Amino acid sequence: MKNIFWHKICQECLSLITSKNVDIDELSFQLGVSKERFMKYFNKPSDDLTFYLKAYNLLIEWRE
Amino acid sequence: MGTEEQFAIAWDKFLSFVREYVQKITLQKAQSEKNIESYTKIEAMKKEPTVDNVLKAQDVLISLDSSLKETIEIIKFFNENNGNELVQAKEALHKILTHPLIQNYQETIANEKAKIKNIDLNIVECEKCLNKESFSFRYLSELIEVSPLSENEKIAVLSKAILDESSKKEREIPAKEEPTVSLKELITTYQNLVAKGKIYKEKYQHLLGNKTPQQMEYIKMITACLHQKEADIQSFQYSEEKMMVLLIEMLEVEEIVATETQGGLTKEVSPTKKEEIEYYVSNLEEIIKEIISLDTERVEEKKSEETELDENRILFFLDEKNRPFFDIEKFSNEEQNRIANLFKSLTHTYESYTRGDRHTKFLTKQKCDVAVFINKNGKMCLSYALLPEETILVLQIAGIKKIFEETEKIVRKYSVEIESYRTANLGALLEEQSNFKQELYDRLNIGKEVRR
Repeated sequence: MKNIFWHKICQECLSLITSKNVDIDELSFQLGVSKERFMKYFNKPSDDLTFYLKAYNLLIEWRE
Repeated sequence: MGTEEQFAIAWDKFLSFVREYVQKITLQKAQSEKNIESYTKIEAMKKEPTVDNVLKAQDVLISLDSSLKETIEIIKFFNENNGNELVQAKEALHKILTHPLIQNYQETIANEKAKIKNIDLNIVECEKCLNKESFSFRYLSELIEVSPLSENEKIAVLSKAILDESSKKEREIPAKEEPTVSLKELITTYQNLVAKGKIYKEKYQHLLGNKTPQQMEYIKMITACLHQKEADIQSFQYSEEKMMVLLIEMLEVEEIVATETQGGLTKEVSPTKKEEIEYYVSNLEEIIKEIISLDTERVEEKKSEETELDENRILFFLDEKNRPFFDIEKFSNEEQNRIANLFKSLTHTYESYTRGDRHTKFLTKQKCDVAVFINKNGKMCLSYALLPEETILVLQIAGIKKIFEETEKIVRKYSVEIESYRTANLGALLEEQSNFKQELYDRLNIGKEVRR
């Protein structure tokens, strides 16, 4: 289940980042992590699943 | 009534029908799930009904109603020829947005969800038939009625079901004589927990109130990971999202116990059943404990954010050689202006964070027992720790790309030193740093209002 969750939410976050033209520096800041850590969590699942939920929630409300 | 052999043939035929029926409704369920997903996609289009958003959702729109293809082609044509402002283009856009399927999409999502729930119930009942468990006769009769069996076969199936059920009941009679145990105390504990949980359910209902079906699905997926021990709640750092997960988990466990105890009406059960219910009740207790502890954390966090600070009480965290961790000279004039603004607004930005303006970021998990904030002005950021006596300890100044990394480095390396400021003579330290501060503020052209 964790892998399914991770794949699905990451894919959707990335598609929102592209479609809304999101500045990764700004998104990382709002998530309270460095850009490097942000990229790391999208390459390998983090134990903190709320990170992805937070990112998704921020992206849903993101205004270009 | 026929012979035993006729009963068996009719029963097998009926079971084959049930299997096919399950496959059919499972496909219907998948279709409903797909529909919900599609409607979620057009939600964005409803929120911002622009030509771009309609074109982004075109595949979904056509899959919902193929007759919309023509209208989308019109929109596409005008869009490609810079004619979005023409009446025909606007009319086509209006036609899409006022389409009944799109206008009533929330109602459709609710209908699809109800359909899925109904299909799930049907599947459970069918599986009971297939596994020869105790099933509902009403449901069985309905299934028999829609099956392609002949009238004789229908009667045979029903007769066999009645015969099997009555012989099962006969076999179950001694089981009824097995000792049962009271659920009274457990139900009281459960009801007390539900009452306790209700307080937090109401306090935080706003967190879940405006979530889309997709957001809710992700929250439920996280609770499933927790149940399957694939995730640990202690690793969750984002307090708002953690609260959402805990609330959904609480509701799920509450529902299980309510079903198992028939809403608290069951008085006695077998010892095995009691053990099972005990497990869920203790699970519920753990979840509520976690919610209470998170709530306390959030209240304390909010208090520190709301603290009004005296702008003169700014200290700088210095290294072993009494130097700050940033070099003001290395910043450009524009960056220095932004830094000056950060100093000027340092004491007010807490409030903006509380309001959700997101200019101030709170670092939630640090190996340091002091709250660390980061303020932002354009691409420049300033990190600081909150000390007692409403004092600010400036840790680092850097661009948005570096601030987290560099602040974390300082906090990791100097956590003991930073914590020691909590018991230090802050008045004396402020006095000690007054010259250094004056030099810095002069460099940044900051007025005397922030000097000491």
